[in-house]
Amino acid sequence: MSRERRRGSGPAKAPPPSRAPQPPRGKARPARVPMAAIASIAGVVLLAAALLWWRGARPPAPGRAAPVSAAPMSDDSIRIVARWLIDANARQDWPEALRLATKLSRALPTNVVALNQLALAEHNMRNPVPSPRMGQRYLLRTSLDYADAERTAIALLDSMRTVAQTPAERARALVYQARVRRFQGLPLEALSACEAALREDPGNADAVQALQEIVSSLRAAQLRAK
Amino acid sequence: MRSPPSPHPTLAMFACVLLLGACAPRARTPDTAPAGADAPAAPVRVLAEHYAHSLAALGAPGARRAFQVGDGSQVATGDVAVRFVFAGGGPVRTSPVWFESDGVPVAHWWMASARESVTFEAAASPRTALGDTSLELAVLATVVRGDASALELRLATRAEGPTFTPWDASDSVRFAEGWHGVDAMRNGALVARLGAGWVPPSAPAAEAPVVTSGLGDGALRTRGTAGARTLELWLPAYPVSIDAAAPRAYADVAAAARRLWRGWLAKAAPFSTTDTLVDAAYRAALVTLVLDHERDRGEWVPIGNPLQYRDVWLRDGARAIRALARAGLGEFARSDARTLLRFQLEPGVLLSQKGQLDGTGFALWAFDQASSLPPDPALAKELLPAAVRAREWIDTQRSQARARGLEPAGLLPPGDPQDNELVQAPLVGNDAWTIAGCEALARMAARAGDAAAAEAARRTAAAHRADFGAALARFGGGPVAASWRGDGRDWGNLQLAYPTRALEPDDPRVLATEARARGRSTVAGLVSYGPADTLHTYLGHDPAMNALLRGDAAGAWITVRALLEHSSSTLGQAETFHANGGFGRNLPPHGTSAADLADLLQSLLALDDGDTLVLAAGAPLSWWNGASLARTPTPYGLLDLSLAHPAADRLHARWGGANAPVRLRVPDGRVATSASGGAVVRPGGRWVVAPAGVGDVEIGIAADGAGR
Repeated sequence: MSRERRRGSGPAKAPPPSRAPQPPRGKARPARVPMAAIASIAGVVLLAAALLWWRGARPPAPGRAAPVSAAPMSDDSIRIVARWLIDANARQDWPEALRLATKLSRALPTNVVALNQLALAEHNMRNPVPSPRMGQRYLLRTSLDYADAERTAIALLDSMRTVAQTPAERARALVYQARVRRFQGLPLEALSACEAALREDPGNADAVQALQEIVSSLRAAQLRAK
Repeated sequence: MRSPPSPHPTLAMFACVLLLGACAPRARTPDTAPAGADAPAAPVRVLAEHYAHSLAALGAPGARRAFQVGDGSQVATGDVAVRFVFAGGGPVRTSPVWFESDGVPVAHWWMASARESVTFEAAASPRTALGDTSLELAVLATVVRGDASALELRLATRAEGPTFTPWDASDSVRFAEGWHGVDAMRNGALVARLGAGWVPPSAPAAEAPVVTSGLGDGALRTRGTAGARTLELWLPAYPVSIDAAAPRAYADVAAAARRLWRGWLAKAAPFSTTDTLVDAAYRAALVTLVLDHERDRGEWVPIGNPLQYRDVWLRDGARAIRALARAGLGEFARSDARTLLRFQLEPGVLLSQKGQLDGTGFALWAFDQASSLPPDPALAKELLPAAVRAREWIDTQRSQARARGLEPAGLLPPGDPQDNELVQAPLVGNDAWTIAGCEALARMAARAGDAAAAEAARRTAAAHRADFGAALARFGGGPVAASWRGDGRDWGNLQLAYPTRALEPDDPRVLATEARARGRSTVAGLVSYGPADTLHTYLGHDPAMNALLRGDAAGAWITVRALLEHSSSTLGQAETFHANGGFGRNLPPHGTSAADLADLLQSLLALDDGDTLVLAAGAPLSWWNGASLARTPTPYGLLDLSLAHPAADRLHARWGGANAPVRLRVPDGRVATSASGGAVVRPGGRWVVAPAGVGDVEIGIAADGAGR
């Protein structure tokens, strides 16, 4: 049948800003600077801050494996790559986003934010990109490639959960897993992931919202009286 | 054998000569042409085109592209298209595209104006010199009337009319075009080479290319040399550097194509009725099925279509596996099954497209098909671990759905398959395929020698069947909808009997569902999809199979005839087509249509129904004059079958190799009055049954309604 709707239903949402402190308000900016630019700059600062906050000599939690050796990258480079990553996501340049997210995760292999970004980048490879000839084109050739990308995304989120050091971080990994499962059309797996997130971090707002969305969707799809 | 309406007296004679060659009784080109022998071309099989556009695909299994031939006098690679036109203008008629009568996909067509007439042939062959998955296409034009100088060749990016764009096509819409001698160059790469017969153009030169933009005709064109009788053209599947190009003459490419395809067709189990069109359609279906294969990670990958659907999905791949296995092309079926394993996700579910929760059932069923046709315990063992994980996922879904209060209780959760049913709801087909998949797993586990896994699968199947039956009560005795909610387009609800056997073929709900689906259609035997005047070629396959299982041969033949009467001139089928013959961008030939047609045609002679082999379920009396099968995989072994009509009042069936009880159908218009060899005539005289071990039966027959 028609395969036009078979792939991609939009990119995974960029992660909400971390709970790191908001950047201090600097000098007032000219009023005519677009909000998108401000948001982009803020996003870069927050992403970089999150990456750098978790970088550094934080000892691994007891019982966890020793850190994987990293490809060295200076703090400045991390900020730059983070900025490029946000830009790539904003313009829906998924291959570039994957390349940059891979670079970040190599530099910060046990960083939950980097792992999160890489998982999202893998998942977003299923989305089309503009094509001057075809209108849009898909990046991965076959459904087998999509299945590989989805498995990789889930595995990365598992890794994120493994290296996470707080319940909130573990819950975040589970919420993203729930979103991927929901996207795959596996509502029961998505529900289980949300519930696991709430066990990790009771009251986690993202988990509550995701759970409500899935339940609403299931209710809407359920039987109605004939 | 059909004769196309002929548009021109001279060509009418030409076509008739070809047709007579194709119709020579029993004088078919043998399927067993020895590999490596340069056997001559078989005659062209001239058939009417039933779609609004005539096009075909040329290629080879293992490639990642195919060439499009047609609509009209053109060929296309997806990066470049070449059109042949008469420079003088005026009305031009172009024939449909035809293949050769032994099924080999070498394309033939003609083009005629008031002054000129040219015939064309095109052949494609793998060419590793161009790339490990690459192909070459060679075209031969022969001037029948007029002068070659009137024939013009024009290069464009995109073919005119319905066409496709390959996934890996260049994104560029600006081209620096020029000729480097006889080589057509675009953006520095060779896209075509002129062979003998064409005037080598001097402009534009590749050293000073013209920049063109857009997808239509570019700057590259040329004409035939005055006085030439034949003209050749060569195209690689992908643009190549001049140094890498290694063009071959048409004769060499066509000989390679014939060797390749005769080799593949010779591997298939012989299938022969007395109906040359049925035989040709079966062979054409096998060609499409074989062509619809790529290679990846050392295994075959069953794709949906050689042109625009070069992707793999569980719903389609499973059907291809059954058809290929039944056809004796088990090499593909087994490898395809291994490829489908790659769709398994961590929870155990097999998913090729989001929301298509029947994928797990389809995959389990496909694994059973691949490992049972014929029985292959080693493959069953190899596939079993993944299959058991899939069954465990089903158990988890059932228990969680019940615990969460989803309705219907115990069945799979709602899904949005993004296709087919076009609804987000709990889907009837998902559960029918869950039953089918678990029962298939039970058989496969037993074949693998794992009694515990077989028993666990049987338990899940039985439990799901019980919940399924309870849920069906909401439909009363009437038609079953696609979703448990009552909405959705007919899809999985047409698969309730064959092949899932969630219900029996004679269940009133199956009959009601089929009657409603068929009743909407504007073509008897086909089912509509969506609007009533959009016909679907394989959605009506399962109802036709149900008819066979019920003993309603006429009901099955309505679909067979409809499919043959709505096929392309190369006996390919579009997945869907409008009543006016248009198929939009969904170009034929479709792989699942081919799979289901092959399954249906073979089932007219032999069909597995549980523990019983059903013979001649759809064979008309004329087929008893020599229809036969040889080395045909069944779950009971490799079947040889021959049907004979030695006297007006006697039929003779001989079979061997398949150890199973047999149910044999007497053709419409006759009833059985006696049976020999341990076989017994069933009341009503329609069926003759024989226990396992009986393989030679003479049946006394009389005209239906008399002589009992």
